[in-house]
Amino acid sequence: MTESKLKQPHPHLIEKCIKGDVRSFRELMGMYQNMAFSIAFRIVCNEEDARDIVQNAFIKIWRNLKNFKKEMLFTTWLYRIVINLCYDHQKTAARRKKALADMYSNVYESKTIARNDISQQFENQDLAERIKELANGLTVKQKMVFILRDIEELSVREAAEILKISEGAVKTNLYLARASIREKYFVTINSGGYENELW
Amino acid sequence: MKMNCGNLRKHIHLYQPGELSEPEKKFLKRHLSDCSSCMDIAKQMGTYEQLMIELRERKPVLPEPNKLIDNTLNAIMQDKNVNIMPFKGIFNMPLAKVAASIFIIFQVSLFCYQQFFYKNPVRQTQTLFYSDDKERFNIQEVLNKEIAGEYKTVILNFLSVAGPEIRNKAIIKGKTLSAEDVKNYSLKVRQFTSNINNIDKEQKEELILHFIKNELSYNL
Repeated sequence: MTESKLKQPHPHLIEKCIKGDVRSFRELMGMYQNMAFSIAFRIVCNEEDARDIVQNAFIKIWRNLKNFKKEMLFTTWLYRIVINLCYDHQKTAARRKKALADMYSNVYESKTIARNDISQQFENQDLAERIKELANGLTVKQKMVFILRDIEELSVREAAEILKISEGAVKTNLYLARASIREKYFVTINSGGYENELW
Repeated sequence: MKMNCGNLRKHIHLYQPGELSEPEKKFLKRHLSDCSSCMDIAKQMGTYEQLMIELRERKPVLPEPNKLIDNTLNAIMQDKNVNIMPFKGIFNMPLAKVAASIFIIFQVSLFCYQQFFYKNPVRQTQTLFYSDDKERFNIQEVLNKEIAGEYKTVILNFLSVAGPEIRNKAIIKGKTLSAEDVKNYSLKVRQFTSNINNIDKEQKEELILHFIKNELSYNL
């Protein structure tokens, strides 16, 4: 089992949830919904969609708790479910966006932005824009690795386990993601005085 | 850019705890002291790390967290494929298990009693009444023919609760229950029950038993 800095739920709590105790499941959701929302929001960059993903993730967890393998960390399992839902969301969102863009050209963009401005809180919106800006041009896998490793601060092994890829594949995707972000946004920055701190 | 810069660029981007081995780090440091273009990238990666720290600190805010929990639980409740037993947990408690077992045994016993004894008193009474001149008499046949449902029940109840003394008395005397006898009982019972209609159930049962023992048994 991979070690994690994330707090794991007590085994009794999981047992109770498996037995169908809704009160315990409410407690479990209370413990992990912020974490799930955080990762979902950072990937899909939309408050409403992230909420839907969190809701669906917990419904999935409730349905599949019986199949939860005890040798796996609960947080890893939760991350994996959220990530898979985000992955599906990204794929369908991309298809939907492309189809609509073909039909309505620029109208789609303006409508989307208007809707988001209303529904999202200012803080979240600002953060979403920042992440979108940084992750623009990354593949879905590169984006997932970048967020899990650099923003959520998970280890390479944890990221590999969540994404069901090798540690080598995590490092390669991470390298490509970091290189892409650096090239786009930091080439012109004339950073100084950092050498000693880094090395 | 030097000959081996291309291979080392990946290492520069992965210079984080757990991403490079110690020998790789040493080799990289040595290379950076000689290569200014790679050093520039390393500096940019330092700025990149600063940016990441800023992003990590800015946690997205989940609006209305309780509403999300309620919505999720509602969706779970509405899902027919999901088995929800909110109070199942209490059956894990030993005391609750014992109490539940006792309750179930009691209910089963009560059901059996009502099903096989209380509701079918005829089973016990059918063979008790017969004449000693060998003329057998089936009390149930008479009751079925002569008496309306509610009185039949009362008389059958009477026969079942009459007790061994009355039954023996009936047998010793050799008295048989003729249709006339049953009609007389029926009249008495009707009069009696019309007077006790408004009394509550428990008291009514008590009065009926008293009536059966003191009035009807006299005729036997």
